[in-house]
Amino acid sequence: MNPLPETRHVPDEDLLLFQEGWADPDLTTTVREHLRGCDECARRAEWLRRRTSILDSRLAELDPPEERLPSSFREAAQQAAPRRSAGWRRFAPRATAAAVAALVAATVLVGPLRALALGWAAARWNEAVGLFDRSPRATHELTLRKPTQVSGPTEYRFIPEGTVLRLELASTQPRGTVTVTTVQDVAAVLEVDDGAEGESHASVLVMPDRVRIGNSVESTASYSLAVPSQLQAVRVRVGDGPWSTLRPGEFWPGEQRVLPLGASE
Amino acid sequence: MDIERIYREHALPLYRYLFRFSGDADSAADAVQETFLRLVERTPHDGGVRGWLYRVGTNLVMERGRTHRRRLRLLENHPDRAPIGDPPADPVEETERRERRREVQRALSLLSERDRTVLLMRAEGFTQREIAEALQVNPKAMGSILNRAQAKLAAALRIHVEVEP
Repeated sequence: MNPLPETRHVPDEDLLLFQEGWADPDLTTTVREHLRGCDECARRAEWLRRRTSILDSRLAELDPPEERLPSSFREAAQQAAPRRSAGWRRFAPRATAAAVAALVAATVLVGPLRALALGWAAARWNEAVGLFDRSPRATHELTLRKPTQVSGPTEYRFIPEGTVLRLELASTQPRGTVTVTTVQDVAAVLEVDDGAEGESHASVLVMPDRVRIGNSVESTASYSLAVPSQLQAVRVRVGDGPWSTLRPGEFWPGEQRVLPLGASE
Repeated sequence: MDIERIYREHALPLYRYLFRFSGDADSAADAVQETFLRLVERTPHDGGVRGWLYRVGTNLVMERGRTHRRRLRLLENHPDRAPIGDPPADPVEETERRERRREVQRALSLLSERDRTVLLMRAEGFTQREIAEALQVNPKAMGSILNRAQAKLAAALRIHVEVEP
């Protein structure tokens, strides 16, 4: 410990280090001892403490009200709360779906440009899939349903690569929707809009609430859906037709499969 | 690395931080998504994941063209820009809250990136070492850096602190 000379006061930066708990043991002891005998420094420390407190409360005003936070982030945070409970792993698939859906829901609602801007991520996702947990506990299952509004697509090109699922929808309609639903009731609506020429891309982690994709007539829309768990099976359904089920062992990973609409696997 | 757990724990706090930093809900939300995309792509090996997330997120909101001038223009033109949600229950209360938020956003926008970072990371509960790493400064300098940043923000907000003699 290096006591301060009697004529020297503690500088503000050291008082702040002390108050923040950032001071090393020697400085902590020095400041504490000095404050006991120096009214001037004690008042200065109180002044700094009040300033910090006021600024903290003002910075907290930057946060939007809780009810106006993106629901996706709120849900993710709620999922985090019981994470250490005994049976938490039982809920991991649902938590994953909700959390990732939350992530995307809040971030891709801003229109076709946003979706297009994310196109670059598709290739990186394909490279990154090896990082995901491939343990058999994951039970994600996707069902794809052709939207009733779109009559043009003739086939889905369905390309699972690790935990990334690329769905290419050949479209002859400028508008429509593709609904994607997991067994955990996490739904996404990929809304095709007539805002762009040529091929359109979107890369999402799992399932947004609604992603708008620019998609001109006779263009091909491509969606890369990344699920941070291994898919056990993927079911495809077009309209009211029969379910087509694809299982990882049959084509996993990276193999392409083209499903004519309505075909039964 | 348990991506799911990291996401659940850090997505919302990271969003709040980036929203505070940029003053733009869309930018903050975009940056959160891309930060986690990068986390999957490149697992950080040095330091903690939390610090890495905030560093990358901060860089992203800045890289996306949210320059100082653009932030000011955005805040002036759309001070009520807020995340998507239900309309407020009390419009008067919400208006007052927006005004106060706008005042803080303007004050923060006048600060340097370093001052803003130290104030906001501290508010998020980062340690001295973590903030120093983000700023690439000596941890021992954190006292003076924090003091200056607080003084500038207090001045910008015209905060007057009084202590009884």
